[in-house]
Amino acid sequence: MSNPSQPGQPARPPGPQAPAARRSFPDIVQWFRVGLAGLAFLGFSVGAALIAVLAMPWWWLLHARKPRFERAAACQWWIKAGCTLLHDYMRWCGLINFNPRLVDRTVPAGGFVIVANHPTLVDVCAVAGIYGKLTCVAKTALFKSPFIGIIIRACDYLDGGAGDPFSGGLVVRQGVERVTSGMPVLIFPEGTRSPEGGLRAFKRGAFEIACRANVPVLPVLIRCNPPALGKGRPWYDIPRHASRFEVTPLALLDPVDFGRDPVTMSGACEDLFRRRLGLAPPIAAGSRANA
Amino acid sequence: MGEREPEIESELKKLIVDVLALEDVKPEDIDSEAPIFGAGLGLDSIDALELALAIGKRYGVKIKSDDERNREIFASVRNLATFITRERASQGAAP
Repeated sequence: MSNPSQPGQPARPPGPQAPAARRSFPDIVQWFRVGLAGLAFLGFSVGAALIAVLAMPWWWLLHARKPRFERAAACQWWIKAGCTLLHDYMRWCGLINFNPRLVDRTVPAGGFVIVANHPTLVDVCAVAGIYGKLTCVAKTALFKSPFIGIIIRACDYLDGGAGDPFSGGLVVRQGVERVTSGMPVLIFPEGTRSPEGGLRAFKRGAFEIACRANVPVLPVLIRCNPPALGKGRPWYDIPRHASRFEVTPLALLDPVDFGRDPVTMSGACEDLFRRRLGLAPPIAAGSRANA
Repeated sequence: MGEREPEIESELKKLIVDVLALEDVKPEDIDSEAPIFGAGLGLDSIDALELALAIGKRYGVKIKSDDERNREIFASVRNLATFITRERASQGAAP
């Protein structure tokens, strides 16, 4: 993908370029773009540190005596602001074209579970930038990280555990607790980022939360074209043109329509995503496997 | 491989089927030595917690989620039975 030596890449708009400049000029642009992408990563860490050090003390003073999830929502506002800023930066730099402000923010009253596919590293930021008030699952290691750990603990994010045998069950319990208190939970049912241009089998945890708490599932379709920041692709391997990033909230799914059976609901939701992404149905064998 | 199965093992098998609402599995179909999770019965970490809570309620044996032995304890029905028997004995034969 990187540094094609032959000129005339198909996606390049034909322009009156000098033959000598044609070879070296795009590479300089690409290096510059990689630099801007690196700054986005740096900015993410610096931003997290600034929120942890400058905003958290105020948050603590202002909201210490409020109810638990109201307090968490106040902190989640900072995440929303930070994530929106990150997407603004990436849009201004021509890395990823997405504006969280332009997506429909209609949500059901009370708690609900947001379920999304996971093509890129910036999906959480996109969804948090749109909806603001939500909790998501983070690895135990992240809770121990100095700045991010402070913020996600204040936001009442769910501890996904460190791969112990009960981790899934604990996430379900924490999730039910949140959605029944009106705090939305975001879960990527694939468990990790999607394979490029594909979708992994859904795990039932998110639907287990929805069915047990009897709250709706909001499926959110994420598309990034050309693919960028995907699983197994190094961060500096970015497309030569800004990726078109789209977030499409789909119609709500009600657990009652699936007999409040998480496995049925999970399968139906996975089919829905496959259809919308234009993917073939999965091979039947092993479709019941959940980790 | 004794002919007579310890009572606690058959009790556990019934508990697994009841708690996890396994429709197509009978308690007597479960092999005491086969893995409960993954390849064996195909149960996952959501089932594991449910089962641990049910065991806690039934036998008064607390299984902590951060216990490093969990993987071993939940390896098979036999291991689980051994663990419960040992824990109850060390609790001084709780009522």
